[in-house]
Amino acid sequence: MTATANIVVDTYAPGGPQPILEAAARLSVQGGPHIALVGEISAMRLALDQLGYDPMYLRLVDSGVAYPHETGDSLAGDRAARNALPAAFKLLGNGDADAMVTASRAPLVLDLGTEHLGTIAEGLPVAQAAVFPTMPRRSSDDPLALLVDVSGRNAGGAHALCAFALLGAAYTRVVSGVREPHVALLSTELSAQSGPEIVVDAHAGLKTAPGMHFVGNIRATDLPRGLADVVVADGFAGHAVHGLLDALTELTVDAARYAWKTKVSWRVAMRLLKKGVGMLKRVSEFKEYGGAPVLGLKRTVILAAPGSPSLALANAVKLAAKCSRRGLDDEVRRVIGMTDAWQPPESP
Amino acid sequence: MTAKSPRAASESSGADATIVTPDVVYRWDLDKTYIQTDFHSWRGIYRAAMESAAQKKPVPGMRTLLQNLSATREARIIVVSGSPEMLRGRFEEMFALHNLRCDRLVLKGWAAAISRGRWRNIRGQVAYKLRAHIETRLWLQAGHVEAPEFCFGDDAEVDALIYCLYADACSRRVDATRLRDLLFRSGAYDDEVGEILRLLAELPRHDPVGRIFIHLDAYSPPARYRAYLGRVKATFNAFQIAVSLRDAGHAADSTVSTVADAMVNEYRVDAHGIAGSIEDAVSRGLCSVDTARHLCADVLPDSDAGSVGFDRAFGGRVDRRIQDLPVQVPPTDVQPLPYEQLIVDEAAFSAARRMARKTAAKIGGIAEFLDPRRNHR
Repeated sequence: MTATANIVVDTYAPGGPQPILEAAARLSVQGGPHIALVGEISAMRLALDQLGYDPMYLRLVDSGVAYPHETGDSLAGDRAARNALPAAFKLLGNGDADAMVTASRAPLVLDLGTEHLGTIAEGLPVAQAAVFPTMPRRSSDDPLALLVDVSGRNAGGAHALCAFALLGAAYTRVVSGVREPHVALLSTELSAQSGPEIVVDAHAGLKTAPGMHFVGNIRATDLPRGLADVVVADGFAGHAVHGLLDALTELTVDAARYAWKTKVSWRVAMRLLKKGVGMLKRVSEFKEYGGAPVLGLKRTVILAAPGSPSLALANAVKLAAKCSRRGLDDEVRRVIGMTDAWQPPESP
Repeated sequence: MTAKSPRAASESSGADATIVTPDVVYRWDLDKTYIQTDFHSWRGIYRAAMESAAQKKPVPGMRTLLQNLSATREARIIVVSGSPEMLRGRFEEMFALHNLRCDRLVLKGWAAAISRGRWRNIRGQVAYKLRAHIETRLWLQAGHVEAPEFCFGDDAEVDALIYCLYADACSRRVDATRLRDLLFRSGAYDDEVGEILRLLAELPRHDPVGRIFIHLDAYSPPARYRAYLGRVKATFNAFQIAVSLRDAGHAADSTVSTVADAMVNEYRVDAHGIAGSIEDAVSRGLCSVDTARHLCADVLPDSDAGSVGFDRAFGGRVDRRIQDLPVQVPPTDVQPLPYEQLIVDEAAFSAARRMARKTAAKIGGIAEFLDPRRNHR
């Protein structure tokens, strides 16, 4: 049995394979984890020859699918990823790897992951998580909280939101080391009785779920205030909120850059506000956290943002190794086995 | 004269080299090839100068490899290093501790260079090492040793260029006029060039070099050695050297298995590390597919690698992957090298690496990337 995690990495990101290969080479010379790069093997070989790497921690797996000729060609990129991802899922499914990292488009990963890996339990929905920065939280030192689900798909019922809460809490417990993660539901109002029907029903289910520290509903405006470690949302609402958070962060950073460039006096003022600007910088860097998990699949899959730089991808691989080392798969299975709150109601 | 001559060096060596005619000569560099040294920082230089023979750490697997190679064949071991002459006693003690016989140990005369104000001799390696190689070749010649030489160096300096130039100078693929020009380009002094040409004239025309291995200690991109047209085997670890030697018929299965044992037991390398090294060796043309398959099926599962997961089932999976690997085929014929360009390129590479190190000291995180072992020290 090996102590070092084995991570399979898909190299068919929309931004091309180069940042992924750089990240893998960089991690290999730092001594792990073991990385299996799935891609067009001859192209990967040529690219790696130009980089420093350590073969003790890096191996190449042929997907049999050529990279698109132009990196910007999204249709060809999607087609290549659709044909190549099964090879990566196969390695993960047959136990040759402990976790997987991909920067391919989320809908592809969710669909192909469900098809080739399967879900932890029959009928369990699959969710895409994302991290977002918050004010300091009482429950954790981690500056980032988890938002589940951001896939853009309708959850399909209150039971799905309950499942997302269980999965998100298990992930936060294992990866962030929070013993009792505070879980909240994203709604329009704080009251348990208000909001969409799906949220009202999920609220009732989560209140009685065993081992769950449910703090109630929160509104979108409360997200950055650090009221919860895990915020559960319907996929469509989560996607919209997460997109808005991303855009706002970019806008804030752009405004700071504009101020820096425009006037010397503003630049002096920003120097005086060094600490505050540092916080802003930290907020803007949350995208380099690396990635977030796809929750509900039989094995750990970390999804990095398409077009991520090599630093973020290296962090995603480290995150996958951490999940594997700390036994995320086992914890998720344990939690799902404890309750049936996530199971859809039987039809009359 | 900057180096202690091999003849003088022989006086301090206890081995009698003329009793048995050897089958092979192993020519090694010391720092970063055989022992782990950091001479890119003052702290590292201080540590290298002060540490005792017992504290000197071999590069993972190299001690076992050299022990095994010299035990399984009648061999001469020549070590040529840029370390100062004053460390001779400590190195000799280290070889004794490692249970290795060193027939010739050539070190650089730093004190003589400093007293004569020859600063280029401190940093420059080409003239010093080429002269040491030719002198030791003459010493072998005197003992009627015609055995092929296997040369081992690293990517920290220009070992690949020096070994290739040594082979080409001995075989006269590089004539005296061009050699003189190349030595001046690499910073040699007049009298050094004259002495090298005089010594070379004493050697018969013959290429003594069988194979050149460059240990990628600083994780240089393998593409850096493409310019050597297949004459240099760039390896990431001792295991890959053992595999490549086994492939060429210069080492036995037991050498591969013993080095694998050392990597597993002394350096905690696991089955995936061994498999990754073999797959990389195959795809870069260090080893044939057939040899790799034989090692995976018949040798490694019975070594200590088997106890860390490299069993027959695992070997079978690696075997299937090896068959699908694209293989780079290196040229088999010896071609003349563009040394003038190589000297320029190697200098540019070193300058870029020095600059990167300086930048790394200022930017957090990059230092660990450039010097990964910093994390583990």
